[in-house]
Amino acid sequence: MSLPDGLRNTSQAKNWVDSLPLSYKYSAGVSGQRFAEGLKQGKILGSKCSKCGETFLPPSLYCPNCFVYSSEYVEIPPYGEIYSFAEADGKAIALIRFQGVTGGLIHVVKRPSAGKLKIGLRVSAVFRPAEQRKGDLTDIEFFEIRPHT
Amino acid sequence: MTKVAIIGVGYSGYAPLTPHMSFKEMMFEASKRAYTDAGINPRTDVGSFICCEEDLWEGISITDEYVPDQLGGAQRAVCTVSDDGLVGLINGYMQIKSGLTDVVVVESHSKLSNVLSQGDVTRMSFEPYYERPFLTAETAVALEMRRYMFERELDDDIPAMVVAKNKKNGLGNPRAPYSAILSMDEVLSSPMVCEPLRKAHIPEPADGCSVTVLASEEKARILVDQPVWIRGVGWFSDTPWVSQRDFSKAVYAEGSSKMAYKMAGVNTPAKHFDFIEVDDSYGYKELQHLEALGVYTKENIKRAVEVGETDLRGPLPVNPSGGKISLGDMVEANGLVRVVEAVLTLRGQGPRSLRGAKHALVQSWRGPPTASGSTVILEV
Ligand SMILES: [Zn+2]
Repeated sequence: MSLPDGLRNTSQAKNWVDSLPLSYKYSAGVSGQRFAEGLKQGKILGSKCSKCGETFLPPSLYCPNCFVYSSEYVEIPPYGEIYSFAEADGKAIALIRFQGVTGGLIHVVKRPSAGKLKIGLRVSAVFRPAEQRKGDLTDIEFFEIRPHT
Repeated sequence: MTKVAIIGVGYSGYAPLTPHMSFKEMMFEASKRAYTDAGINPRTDVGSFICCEEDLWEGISITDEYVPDQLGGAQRAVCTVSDDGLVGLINGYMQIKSGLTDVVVVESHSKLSNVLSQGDVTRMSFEPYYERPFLTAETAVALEMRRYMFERELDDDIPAMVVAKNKKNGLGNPRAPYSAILSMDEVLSSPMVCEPLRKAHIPEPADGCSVTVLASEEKARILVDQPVWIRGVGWFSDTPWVSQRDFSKAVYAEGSSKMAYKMAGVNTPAKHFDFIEVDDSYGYKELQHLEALGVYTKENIKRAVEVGETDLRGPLPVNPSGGKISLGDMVEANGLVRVVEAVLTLRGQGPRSLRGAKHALVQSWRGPPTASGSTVILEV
């Protein structure tokens, strides 16, 4: 397409800049509320389907397999395994998976003082002191490598 | 039921920057080309217009309000599909197949150079409570990439070979702005963005618009000499939870291709196609997608790359267009961009080594953090 007459320099190409501040709040919902309350008590909660018995993390009001209510919230021991990890700016983010659970948590993993991070390493959740917890994922400060596991 | 053909294609932009054109003018130019190619007048010959775009990339919401005029669709049946262009193509296919209309126009575009908050727009697509606090597009990709390479026992050189191949393929494609001769060392020494993801793995943003004209068999035979038939379509979504996915597999590509193969009667995908266009983001995605499509297996995918089976002159050229690595990331237009490339190649207007090609597959992925995508099977 030809340019308008006289426009022969990109610095003359007109544009219009606008910026709108958008903010949202997100309802935690039934299962999110349970999960948040669990965090405050230093617990990781998953949901268990009454029909197929599969346990999901993050927990959900419904089972994606059976499309029925998840009847039960179960406490997941805070010991998991690094399924994968990514490193940038001296920080490592990992997907932590837990035995017998579908899903997991994406969180910060503290690098070991000796050796390197590896897929399959066992980690445990380090919770903040109870009085500092707010019911969000930062109630877990980080995951750390469990020694000699 | 009628067969459905692609009878016209058009494009515009396909460049890192397009400061001289508005997105509407880009659509006008691309559609004008597609209508000329198909020999139709949009004001009298088209039953329905479909645009594929996402409000957040447009910087304007309810974008379907802003698309009719520049397509020749003023005061006609127009709608927007907020998804990859391939999904729009499949919707158009169904409108014709069902007898609702006999000519449909499908459009998709990117004006990424106008998006000043690209990272924030991507971050907004992450689940806000469990995933957004810790993930960016790059982190999410790096997590999957590391796990996939771990399970397949791939070294860094394998994704780098895919990047180098597609950069080189693009050199033969006049529409591919990011094509280059790039050595593996150059890929492997490019800056680390989020280990193991390097800058050279990441498709660069591009502006562009693609338009296709679809027609029923009866119309297609009247209008053009070389219709390209849509023989199978499929679309599929894996779980929305990043944490619940199997990082070794592209479940969406497996599901969408199975649906398309069943429709097209393809029983041995590894032998059926003369060339394949798949989403090749970050190099490793090309491999993960080829496995999911059933053309390679987790056992033979590494060797296929090493011996050059998927090279332009290999037994099964993959991304002869140069892929997203060479054409650039055009967000919702990515799938339709590749349909245009496949159509041109099937008509003999693509790489010389692929003249006479009859069977092609186009697969698309909606990009991070999604696990949804589509497959279309084309034939001449
Ligand atoms: Zn269930």
